[in-house]
Amino acid sequence: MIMFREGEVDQRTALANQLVEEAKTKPVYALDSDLASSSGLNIFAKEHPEKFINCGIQEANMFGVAAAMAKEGFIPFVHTFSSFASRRALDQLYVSAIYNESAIKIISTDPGILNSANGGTHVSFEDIGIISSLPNVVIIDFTDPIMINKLIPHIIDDPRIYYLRMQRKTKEQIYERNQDFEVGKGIVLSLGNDVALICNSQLALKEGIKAKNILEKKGYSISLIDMFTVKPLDEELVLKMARRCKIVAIIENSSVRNGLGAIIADTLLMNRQYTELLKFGIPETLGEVGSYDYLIEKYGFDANNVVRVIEERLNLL
Amino acid sequence: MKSLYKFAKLIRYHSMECIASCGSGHVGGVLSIADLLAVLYGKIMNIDSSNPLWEERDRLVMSKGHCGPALYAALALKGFFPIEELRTLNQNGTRLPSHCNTLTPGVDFSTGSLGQGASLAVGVALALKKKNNPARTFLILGDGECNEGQIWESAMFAAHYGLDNIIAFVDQNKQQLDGDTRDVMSMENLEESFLSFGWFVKKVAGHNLEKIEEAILNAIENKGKPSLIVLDTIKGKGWTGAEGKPKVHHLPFTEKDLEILKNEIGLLGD
Ligand SMILES: Cc1ncc(C[n+]2csc(CCOP(=O)(O)OP(=O)(O)O)c2C)c(N)n1
Repeated sequence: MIMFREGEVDQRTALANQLVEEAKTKPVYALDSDLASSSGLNIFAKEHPEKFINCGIQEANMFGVAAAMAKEGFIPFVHTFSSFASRRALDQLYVSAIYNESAIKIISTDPGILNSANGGTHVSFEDIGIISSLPNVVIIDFTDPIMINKLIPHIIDDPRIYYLRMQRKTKEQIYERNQDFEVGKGIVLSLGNDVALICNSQLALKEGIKAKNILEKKGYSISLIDMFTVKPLDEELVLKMARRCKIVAIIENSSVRNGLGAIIADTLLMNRQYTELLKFGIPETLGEVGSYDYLIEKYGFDANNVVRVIEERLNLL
Repeated sequence: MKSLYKFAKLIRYHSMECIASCGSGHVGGVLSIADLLAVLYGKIMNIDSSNPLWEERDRLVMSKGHCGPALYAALALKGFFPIEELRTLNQNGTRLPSHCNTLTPGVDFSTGSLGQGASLAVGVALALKKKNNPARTFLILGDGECNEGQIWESAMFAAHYGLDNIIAFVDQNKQQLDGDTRDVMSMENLEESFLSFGWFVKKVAGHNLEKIEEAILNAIENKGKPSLIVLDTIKGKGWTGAEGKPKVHHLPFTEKDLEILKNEIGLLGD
């Protein structure tokens, strides 16, 4: 039975705890922009006060400072909300970090609709689109605290720039401690023949699980993939799913114009894999306040809508 | 003045009513800016609630956009929309998101990404000059917000173009999100910084309505330079749950707290 259950700590605490451990033996630094109480990095600041740098409310400066620190041999993790990590410090990310080949690690919290309590200025529907258009940045969307614990050591040792999407306050966990994670490899949660549901983020995966359960009750056979690495995409797995299933459906907590679904669509077409494709996520729109349930339904990536549209399409085939 | 004091109390109460309706919010910065809003909306600003986009209106940019509830309370009390609507803060489909938004009648600019309101205000002031429109522009900044480089870019710009139709305020409540500003990112002397950029600068007790009004009138008379009024304030002013306490940026606030606040600010007796 594939399901989320309440774990011990939320994602931000898992991340902070892991960084605390790593910083004991590696030159790991944490930089925040007056959001350490929100990101959980205040836990890190307590344990390693000399390795924590509060930059104040100045995201662009923080990205520049971190890029230089990376050049000097440190491994800096910088945090701000996804909206600011993608939109506000973009040129600094490009020039100071990417163009200078400085391996900063960006903690980008509450992407997609997750920061909706703070309204339109704080949500980022297009961050995957923005960041994935830049060369040499790995994009991960953490699914649960276990994944964070197990991937952070690899991310630290990997000399690439990382953009780490994360939902700060969820304790829910789907993986066990013995689960293996590899950057760039999707996780096959179930294998079926009718529909492949490919999800990134806990929020989307939850809808995917619900949709899978409903569709299976109706007699369909479903593949469910946690595509936690958005870039570089696990093309092999995507193509395998497209060959195996009648429909590939992407469910994501980001824009359907330029998110995971768009990347997958491009991959399929460029490989001459003309599969029935459905994308569920956030339409091209401006952000607004509202509860998660309300927004998921409004944007149409709730399990019920996913099932409805998939059945409609299956009936056409 | 007596009625202005009452107005300030009402802004405090109704902005916190707004926050109580969703259970938590940016309590500290909302309470520290209530008195300025009372003076601006009670005495200074030319506005028309029946015509929120009136061309001659004074403009206001709440650059510390997370303090929407304070502005919403002032606007509701001035008749821009029903007081009852304050209880829809952050609800699905609301016109009142916690950060200022042009969805709300009377709000000129959407803000929330700190620092950007400063450029918007400077741009409005420039546009008004170009249109020979005598309206004034009021800009409200947080002291933490002044960490942003954009504040200083716009400060340089406003002085360079002699935008004396802008009056900026810094709500110097000495705290930002992670704690005291002097610990997070000290900006030793804001007054001197703005002075050196070529602004007219004044610092006043930020909860003294007479002093605030006097400083604004003074700034209006001052020609040729943009004006900055630093408000010496207390984060969370007026509610014992927050006033004078550390880390009061974002707090839970319940209907029960609202009753307590009502007593504390002396609204019951009036
Ligand atoms: C660009 C940007 N970075 C970070 C934030 C998150 N944030 C919201 S309020 C705040 C602290 C603001 O402190 P201050 O300006 O002093 O406001 P006040 O104390 O008056 O509430 C922060 C960091 C934001 N809204 N915008």
